[in-house]
Amino acid sequence: MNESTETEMVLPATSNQTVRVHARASEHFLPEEPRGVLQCEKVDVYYGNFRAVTGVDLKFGLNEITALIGPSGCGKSTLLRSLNRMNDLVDGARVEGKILFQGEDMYGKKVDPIEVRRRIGMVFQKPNPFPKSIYDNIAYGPRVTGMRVDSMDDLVEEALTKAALWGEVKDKLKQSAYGLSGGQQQRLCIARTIAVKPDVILMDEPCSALDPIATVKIEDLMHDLREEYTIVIVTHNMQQAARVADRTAFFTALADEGTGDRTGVLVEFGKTKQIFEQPADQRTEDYISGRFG
Amino acid sequence: MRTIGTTISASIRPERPIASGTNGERRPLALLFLVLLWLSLVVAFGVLVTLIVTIVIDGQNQFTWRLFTEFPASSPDRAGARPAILGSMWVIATTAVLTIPLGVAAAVHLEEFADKKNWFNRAVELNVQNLAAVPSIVYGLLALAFLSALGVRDKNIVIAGALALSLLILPVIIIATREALRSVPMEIRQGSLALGATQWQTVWRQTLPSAVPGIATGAILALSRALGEAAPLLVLGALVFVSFDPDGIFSGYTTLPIQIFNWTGRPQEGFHELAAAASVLLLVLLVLMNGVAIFIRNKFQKRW
Amino acid sequence: MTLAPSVMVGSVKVIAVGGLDSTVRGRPAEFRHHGITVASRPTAMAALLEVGRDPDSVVLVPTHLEDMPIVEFVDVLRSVAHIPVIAGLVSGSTNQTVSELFDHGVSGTVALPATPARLAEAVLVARAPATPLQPPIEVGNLVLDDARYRVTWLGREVTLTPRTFELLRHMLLAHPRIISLHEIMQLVGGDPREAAVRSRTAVARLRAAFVEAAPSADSPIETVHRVGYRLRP
Repeated sequence: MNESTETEMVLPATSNQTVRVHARASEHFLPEEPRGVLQCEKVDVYYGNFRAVTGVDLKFGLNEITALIGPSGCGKSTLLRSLNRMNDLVDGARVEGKILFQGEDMYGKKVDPIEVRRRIGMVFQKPNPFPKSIYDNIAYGPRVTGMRVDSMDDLVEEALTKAALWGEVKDKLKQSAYGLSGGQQQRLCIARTIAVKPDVILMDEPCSALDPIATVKIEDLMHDLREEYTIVIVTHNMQQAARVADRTAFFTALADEGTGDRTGVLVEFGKTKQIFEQPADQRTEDYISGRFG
Repeated sequence: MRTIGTTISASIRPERPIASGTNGERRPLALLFLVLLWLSLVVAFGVLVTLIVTIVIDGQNQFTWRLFTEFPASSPDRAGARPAILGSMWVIATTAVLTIPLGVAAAVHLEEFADKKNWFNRAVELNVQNLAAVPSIVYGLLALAFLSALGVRDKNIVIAGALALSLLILPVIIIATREALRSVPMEIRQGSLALGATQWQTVWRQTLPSAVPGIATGAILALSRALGEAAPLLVLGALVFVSFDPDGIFSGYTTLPIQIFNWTGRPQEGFHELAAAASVLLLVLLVLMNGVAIFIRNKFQKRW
Repeated sequence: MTLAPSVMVGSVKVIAVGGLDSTVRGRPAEFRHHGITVASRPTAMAALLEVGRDPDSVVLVPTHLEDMPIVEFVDVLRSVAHIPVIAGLVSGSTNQTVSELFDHGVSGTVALPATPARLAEAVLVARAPATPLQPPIEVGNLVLDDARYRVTWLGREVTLTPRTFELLRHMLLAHPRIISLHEIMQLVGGDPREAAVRSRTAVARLRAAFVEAAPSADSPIETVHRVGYRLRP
């Protein structure tokens, strides 16, 4: 069924506000197999001797939104942080297997993790703007990564526009970022990330600290961003995954008999519609209909 | 329902007037303890107040411009603390220049870059606290030995005193800087790194600027401690009768604490009064420096 | 007990069995003023025929019906045709008869001959719509009482929201058939993109309610992989 049109929806809570709700792109535009810009091959992530997640084979499709869902403690956030080498900062963290970014192993010997992090950006659970002005928050990334910029003002405007924040802050660019609301701060963090022109944006439960209205705005934004970027999102909210994601990966945790440690494992990965309506694995069905976790 | 009423009322405690004046405490032991605490405060405060009042009364005659403009003399009527004041300023300034960059850099390395699991770094981390507690005279001896080994004969120069004092307050500055760096939230660093900044860029552009208020406060407090030190400088042979203004880091000098020490040792009553006046001056300077530190801390406390 | 407004909208047809003189007193206009049109039939059979022609009427039958046992007549009227019946009382009517008639579904009485006002009152009571209360649905250890909005499982009460209650009732009525996910999606409604997840969440909430009620037992809802869910009470 074709549902590719945009619809206007009036939210009852705020009387005059209209928020555009994009219907998910028609199913037939989503290829059967994702065209992988980011790929995991038999990936295990360890913290010292503890295996946090194991056996991950995933392909993140170009210009798609992929959601990672599953109960707590099954390694979704760990895997996400490995995708842009943020895990390098944790003592004792190591990755086995291969994570390929545009065909190259990003943990290869000659790879510069700084450049990896520029190309694969991250938005965190709690909005974390810098203690600087809005303008300087956005300009920070291009400045530190040595981007050649003709007009920083234009770049800041572009980033804020793409993050659906320009209208709200254009008159107060020099004011502190801390004066913004939670939802605005999170959009600022998204604008900051896209200012360095990444290819992939990783989001670790980006809406869990926000109110429902702000959440809708961010989800809306994700649909827009998908045109230009590839997005991977970790979420605890299955409805959010259903609303937003093209494909979904379901993780679960296996307890080690000896130590009692829980290791995360990928159970199933496929189109979101299929995962929720016709999951191939019993464990997926049990989780989504509340049998466990 | 009546039975329920009586059971409840039986378990309510007997009525107590609201204004019992005991600030919530009822047991006699607790009250005694509160009284003892209050007494300790009174004693401590009382001693301090007595000290200050005594000094002020002793020195009140000598609180004239002469204190600031004249050199020490054999007669108390003509003596002043001018070289001591200038000497203190020179020494403290040199100390600041030596120790603050060094201390901040050391703390930044320990906190942001060093591998925390490495045994050496752990040892350093543990011992910085110990170093801050070492008596100041030991640092004087250390500087003495160091300069002798370098073959410096006349150790009564500003730079030598500053060296000793720098060693003394270096651990304090390191600790203060480290605490200031730790108070910067991890999310700021993560946000910076996630954008593709290097560790160094993150420290230089985010962490350190955010930590500046804490570092400034710690540094000023450390310097105010150094201002009052006499022992290490005496070990280095600080002169007590100086009749010239210090004019460089290699020049001779004296400081306020040393001058006070000198005047107290003289027989004439006038000199004792002078010592008291100079002590008051020293106290005022210390209070001013602490005030500046608190001001900086409060002003920058609210984040942006 | 004063019930009625004295004028009713429209007109209700009352089929009076027996002679007109003995059953009602008053002029037709007066009855019409009270919203009643009286049609008199001499016998029970004739009345039945009239009922067949006009099923939207009320029947007034005196307790001393001659040509048919009154209980049988009332039975036919109530259980087959679902016609409201008023018993007309005369001096000879016994409590026993009246009791029995009530047991068989008569909804009110009026003393004969009935005047317009009193008849109107009785008709009002007779025609008051009464939703038939459904009896509790019981399957194994699970009992769902729709009228009282209560669910009991293994003897313990289960707290449910209206939506989960509806879902459970649907499953109970369908038992032992498996309910497909799509069926639940239609029950749940809403945005089609989210319907699958909302259905899953509804099942999860239902399960959680059972676990809360009886933590040691497995919830009675069983997943049939890739098909749907069914009860296993």
